[in-house]
Amino acid sequence: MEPVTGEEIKTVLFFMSSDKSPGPDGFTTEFYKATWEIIGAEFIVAVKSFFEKGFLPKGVNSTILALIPKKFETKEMKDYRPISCCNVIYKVISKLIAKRLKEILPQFIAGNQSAFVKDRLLIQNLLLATEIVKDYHKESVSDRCAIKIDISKAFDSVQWSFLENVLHSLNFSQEFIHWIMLCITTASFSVQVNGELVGFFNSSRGLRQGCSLSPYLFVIAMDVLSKMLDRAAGFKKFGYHPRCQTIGLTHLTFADDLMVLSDGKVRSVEGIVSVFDEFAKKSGLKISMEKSTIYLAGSANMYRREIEERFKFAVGSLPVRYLGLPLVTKRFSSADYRPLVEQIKRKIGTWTARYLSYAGRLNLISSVIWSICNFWIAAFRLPRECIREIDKLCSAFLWSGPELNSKRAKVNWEAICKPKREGGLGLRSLKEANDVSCLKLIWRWVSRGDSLWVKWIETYLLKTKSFWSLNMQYNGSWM
Amino acid sequence: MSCFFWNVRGLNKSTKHSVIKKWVEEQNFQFGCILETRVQESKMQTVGNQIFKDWSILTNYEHNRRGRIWVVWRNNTRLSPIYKSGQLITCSVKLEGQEDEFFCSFLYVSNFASERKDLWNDLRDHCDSPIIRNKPWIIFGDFNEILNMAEHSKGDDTRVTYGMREFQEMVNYCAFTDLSSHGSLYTWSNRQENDLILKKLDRVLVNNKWKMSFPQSYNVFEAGGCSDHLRCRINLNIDVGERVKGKKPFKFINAIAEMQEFRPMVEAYWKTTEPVYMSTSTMFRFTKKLKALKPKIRQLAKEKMGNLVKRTKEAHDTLCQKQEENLKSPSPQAMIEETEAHEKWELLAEIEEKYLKQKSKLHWMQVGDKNNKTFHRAVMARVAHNSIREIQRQDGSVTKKGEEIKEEAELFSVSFCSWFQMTLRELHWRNFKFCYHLGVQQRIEVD
Repeated sequence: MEPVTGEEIKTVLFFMSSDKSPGPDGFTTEFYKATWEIIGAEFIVAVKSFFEKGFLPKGVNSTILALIPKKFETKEMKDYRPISCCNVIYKVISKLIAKRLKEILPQFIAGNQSAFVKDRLLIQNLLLATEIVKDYHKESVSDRCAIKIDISKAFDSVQWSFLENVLHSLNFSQEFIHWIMLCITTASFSVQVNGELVGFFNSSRGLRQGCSLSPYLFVIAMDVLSKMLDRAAGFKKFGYHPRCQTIGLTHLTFADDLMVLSDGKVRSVEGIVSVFDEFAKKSGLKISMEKSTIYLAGSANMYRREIEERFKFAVGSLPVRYLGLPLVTKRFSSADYRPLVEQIKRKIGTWTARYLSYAGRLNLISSVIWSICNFWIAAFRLPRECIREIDKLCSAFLWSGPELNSKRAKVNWEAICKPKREGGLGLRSLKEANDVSCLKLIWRWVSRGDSLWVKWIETYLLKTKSFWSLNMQYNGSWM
Repeated sequence: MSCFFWNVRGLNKSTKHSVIKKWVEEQNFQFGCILETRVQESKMQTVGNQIFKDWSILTNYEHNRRGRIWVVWRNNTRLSPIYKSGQLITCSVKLEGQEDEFFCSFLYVSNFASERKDLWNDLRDHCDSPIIRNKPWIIFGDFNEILNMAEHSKGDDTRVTYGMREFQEMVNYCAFTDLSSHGSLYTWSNRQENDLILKKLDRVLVNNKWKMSFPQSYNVFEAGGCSDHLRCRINLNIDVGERVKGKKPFKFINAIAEMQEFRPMVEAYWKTTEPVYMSTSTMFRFTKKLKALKPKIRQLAKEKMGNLVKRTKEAHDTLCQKQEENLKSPSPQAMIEETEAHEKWELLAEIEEKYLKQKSKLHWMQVGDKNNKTFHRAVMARVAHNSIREIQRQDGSVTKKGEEIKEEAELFSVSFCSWFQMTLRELHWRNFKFCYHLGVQQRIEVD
């Protein structure tokens, strides 16, 4: 592992956003950036001392727990989500460790996990899930089921001892494990209530949401579950989902969002639940049965009753939202993209948008609205009507503000989507962006990336043929 | 100061009378309204007197035989009607001890599309009328319609009905927003065991002026028992406006870094301190030095950033004045003064914008487009959205006191962070390690 250099510390610090909330000491990143010439040298010494001496004072690793209301209902304390704000020095240290962790992560994390691992895309999880549920609406298919698992309080209930053991068994160096454990075990907390800080206490479990190490450590913990599931399937504790045995696919994960695939037999569900129980005992991560849903297809529906009675799973029906996008079994219809349009309308309709200047509105479109669209574009080929509708909305908003008067447009939308030096406003054309993202997916196959989705496509779609000789009748994901 | 509304679904049973009476006494409401009483006009006085003794009552029987809306208020409150229809009563309200009046509309929205359209138009007219336009205005009641599918327990987010769209358009036109709300999201259930549907049919909407005048106001939906609608209480929280503040924790304001005085100050201080060298206590000594810097930054912020908004405005006024003088009697001296005033104002305006942006957390916005109004509102909305005004404790009781909320927060977080089942620590580790490696091997075989 490379030693930490002063140059690296500086890069990490200057890469951090200046607008983030400060930790308990109140110093923002901007402060360190602005005074770098004066205190930079000593800042480097201080950060290096952590790595050389392996010592972290309690004050540095203290954290503010800011309480953010979850969605609409706020009645009790549990309706508020605690978010941690760490001190900048600590953040730099944890980023340095996270950077090293990130590099080696792809080597051992199973391909089922696509969150936080370099070169793995959320979209691929979705596409694979789409391929899998594609025939769920037909009655003639063989037995199959997919279970969407909800892990209760995922980040907050990871046990440290478990994590330490996993890190040891992955053969990390003693020093490296010591750094990580130092970061997560010395944390202390104060709660922020209406702008004031109360309390000062220690924690004895869990990872902080807001610490840059947490996602990677969480992924490592979840990887154990991945391997346990694969192993259980190998020992025939539960049966494979149809078309999944060849590539050994038993589940898909994105951070704490888990989808287990099986053959829909009661015995299999039993096997899966027993794996979760075992995992909960080891790691402290419990699944909440009530919030998990099972989707059945084919004659597996016969066992519906039994499964409901025995496992407390809710039995769901498709289409459903998976990772924030619709998981469709048939062709992409206008009802499927309605959430996207509604989401954009909601963004435009808020009072925030009401007082924006013309330039501010352009800013809102190019950053907020476009990033929402991007998420969808990456996964689907949006129908032409959908793109037209979004363009119309954006144009009306740009010219007339939230009243959305489409008659006030003075320049046509295509012209606005041109780059600035060609006289446009530098917005991206949605249609072109959509085409590009489709090509990107094709590039992923052709370049034979090593992901489960590519493997799936190779096994079931391409077989031995080349991309060009494909039969276009096939309607799977995104085509 | 608080008020209420509740769709009671019939007020002819005396059991309901006592429920309402008890609630009103407990909460000490100033005014409010009861919807869908189904009490006949002839019985209105008797029933009214029984529940609301010594209160005044205003109804809309002349528009609707069934007594859809009863507005009630205490003697110390002054409430005068300015508009009435079958679905709406609008009043101006003046509370005891308050200088300014505000407007309040009590609604019971019809189920028929055509009638509803009339109501939405009435509200639009309200919004445009010169009396209400620049005054705080709150509307609440049973809307019989939802704003988006998230407010429907079986909503799939894909369908927007015609009725919803019309409602949305009205809300958009009048620039209403939901008052910050505690308690449950859905306010109504169809009570069908095998096909349960929950919806948010009741709501409280306020205009922008209201948000400025009553930034601490909020509403709570809670179960009342004898109706399929939840009841709502609205707390104006006027007296809390000046909360007793402890010393605020130090927070670095990014805009300070732009000040000319800032860097020399830090540099001068840093030179007086002992440089740190590599040892186990390096980090500790480094943070100690930073800590001692805090009062100095605080001082600078107080001198230079205090009343930023006011000072920017003053600087602008001076600039305008200088400009006028220069145009009246031009001279090189006046020109220099104008330029100076301009520079001063520009500097302040820039700092103000940067300061507001940091507070508003609208990271996607760029400074320089002069969106101060947006930043201002964003700051206010954030405060309104994120502050905790009352909380139900783990034992079930509800508290509104700042100190007690803090206690509860601490208690909750402490229990949340600790993990007592340490016995699990020495889980069958050997066994587990074995599994893990086997898992890896299994994978390879399958591949």
